[in-house]
Amino acid sequence: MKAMKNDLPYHKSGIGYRRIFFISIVIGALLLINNFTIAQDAKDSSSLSAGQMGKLSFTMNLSSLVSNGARSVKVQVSRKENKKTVIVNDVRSPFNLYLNEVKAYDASDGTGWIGKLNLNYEGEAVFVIPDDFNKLTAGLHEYTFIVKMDSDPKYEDAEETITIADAKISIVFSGEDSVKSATAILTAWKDSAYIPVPEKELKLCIKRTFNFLLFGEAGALTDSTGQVSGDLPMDLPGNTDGTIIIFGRLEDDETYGTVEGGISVPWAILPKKNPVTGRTLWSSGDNAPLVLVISSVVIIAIIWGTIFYLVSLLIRIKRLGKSP
Amino acid sequence: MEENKKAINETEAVAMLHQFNEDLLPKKFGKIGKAWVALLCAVFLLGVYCYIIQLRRGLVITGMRDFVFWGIYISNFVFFVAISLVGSLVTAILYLLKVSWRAPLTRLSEIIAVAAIIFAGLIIIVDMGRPDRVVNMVLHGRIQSPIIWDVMVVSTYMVLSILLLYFPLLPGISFCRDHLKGIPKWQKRMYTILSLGWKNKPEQYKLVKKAITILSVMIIPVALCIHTVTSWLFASTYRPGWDSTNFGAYFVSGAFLVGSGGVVAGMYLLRRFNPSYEKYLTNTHFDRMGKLLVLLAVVYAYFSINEYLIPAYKMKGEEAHHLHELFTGYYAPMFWSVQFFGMILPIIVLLFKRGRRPFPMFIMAVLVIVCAWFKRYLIVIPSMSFLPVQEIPEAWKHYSPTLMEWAITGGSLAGALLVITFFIRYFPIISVWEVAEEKGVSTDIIYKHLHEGNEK
Repeated sequence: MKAMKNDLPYHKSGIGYRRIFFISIVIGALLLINNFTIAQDAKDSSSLSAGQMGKLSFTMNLSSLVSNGARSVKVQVSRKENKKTVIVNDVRSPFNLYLNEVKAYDASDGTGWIGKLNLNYEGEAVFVIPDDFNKLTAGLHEYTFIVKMDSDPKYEDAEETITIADAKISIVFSGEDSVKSATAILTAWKDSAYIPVPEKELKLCIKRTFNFLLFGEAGALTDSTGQVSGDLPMDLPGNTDGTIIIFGRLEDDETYGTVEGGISVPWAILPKKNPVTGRTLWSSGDNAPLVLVISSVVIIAIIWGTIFYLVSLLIRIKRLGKSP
Repeated sequence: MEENKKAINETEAVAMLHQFNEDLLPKKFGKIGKAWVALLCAVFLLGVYCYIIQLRRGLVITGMRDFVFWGIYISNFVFFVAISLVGSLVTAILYLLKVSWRAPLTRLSEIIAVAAIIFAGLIIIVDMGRPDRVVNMVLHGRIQSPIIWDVMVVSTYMVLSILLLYFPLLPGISFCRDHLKGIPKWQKRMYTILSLGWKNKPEQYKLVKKAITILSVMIIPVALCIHTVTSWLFASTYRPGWDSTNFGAYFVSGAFLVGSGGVVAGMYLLRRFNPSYEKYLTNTHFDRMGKLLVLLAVVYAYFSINEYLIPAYKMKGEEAHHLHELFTGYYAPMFWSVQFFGMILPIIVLLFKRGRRPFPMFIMAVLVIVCAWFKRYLIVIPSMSFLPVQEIPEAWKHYSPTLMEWAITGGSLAGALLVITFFIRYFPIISVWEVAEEKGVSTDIIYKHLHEGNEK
């Protein structure tokens, strides 16, 4: 690499020739990046118009979820554009989350700043409050969550508050009779104890893979003891481990937010097997065609066996180096 | 080169070996070399920084969405896999065919292959978004899925390429260990560990040659598999433009072309920045590589015509929409630029002897490489942009890589170039003993005298 210190002499005879080639390359490169430039221009023009109009405002919607004691806070951001609601997902500044008041974190009672959120593609952010934080704030029975965003180059500063009272749902399952039923009991903290909450619409649900299945009477309200009961569908397939998860759900309540509470109960009906029987290319990995499995294993064994043999040659080379 | 194989007496041969060692020992970089390394490090670190942001915020920072869920990460992956095939072409195929002029090119092609395949594996993990989920491919992978075949074949090819680089390198490492003076301790230690106590014994050479023969035979089918399987990732997915039985051969032929372009570019730069290489990477090498490039470009053109002409003749359904976008629509400037600059122009220029001189060859090689990258973009993105689904937002149909994606992709390219650059800095990029054999020096003289050298 001596020449890297001393460059080669310039070959004058090739100047014109090289220029032509360099110009060709530049033209080619310009054509190639043409598409990207157009796309980038489109993006830039949209942000430019926002800047000319000043900062935009948006609507922030806060909600709280308590599921079996685990608490989370969700922020959804949207704004009106041409009388239509559009998702806002390009806020660059983080959303700061505070408990009870806007101040630095207070380690003695867990109040103050507890974290920051960034919006996802759908204009949402969810902050799952850690277990140890829940333990720290166990003495609290009313939570005021404050979400604050400021100093964003495109959007106006924003602040939103939600106050949630402490509530929980417990489930009693009766599975001994021929009819299986469950009762959900909604209680909320008042004075110094959890007391039943009447007149609330409480849903009875069974957890499924991507959602939940409702059972019992639709739109049922809790009675004076805070209870709602319903019978479970008997032909429902359970999980592979012979259980199902049933839970009660209070949705978007203005006092308590969304509250869930459930239990796992034994269930006799196992999920149906995949109706596609046999080993096929479109089955699960366990049901791969034997020909494919055997041939793959044989090929892998031959190739990797040879690789191990080659590694053994390296070991022999090293031994030969040690011998006199 | 046949004329070189006339009988060489021992004195001449020993002098020749000493000269080879003198010329081909790795040397410190000058200002340009250091600036090049600094530039690559900066681009690479920027890519790493953006990847950390991606890890924290998720793939939402990319331009990939519901429709186009494979973006430039995947087209970059296909590019890396393609260029890595040159290792099998120059090292294995030309070795088995006993092509007499291949020796000075083998190590360069093999390090290009190793660097490319390492970053092909890494860019796939980048594309996954969650690197911790790599383990799920092993735990829950379906042997029926081409993605699993790809994982297996990429890892196998990586190991084979590293071995094919390492075995012939052993005498060179031991020479560096014994003859490079005034080097840092870590560098000395690295040579000591990597040389495996090499003593230049005939038995050791015998084992090395045996390993090279085994590897050369084995790496060819694996190399063909790696790019064929990569093509099947697309061909087995129902999207316009990918529904092709031609894809395996189409991908492999394109891969050999871009890989050879990579070797030619590397040859030119080595000569440009180290004049002592001009004796080994001669105009004859450029001439022959030029002819090889023409052959590969013609084969690739044949498969490209097959790939586009038949669907264009039928123009059915969504294929028609896809082809209109490529031929006359949004992607037309890029599509025709790639075909012309990456395939037609190199064929025309390299057909002439004047075109096969080093500098025009270098320009053609760079065009082939750049166009090959954009060709992979055209294979991946337009097919994903179109699905026959109604009432979907217009934005879903378009994909524009974000700056973060460009930075991460650029970082991966810089990373691969860094691997090659550091290799050239610390190891002999031309194999002395293979060049000596090619020039007609008997093996006995090589075994006896290769280790002698002018200490640096």
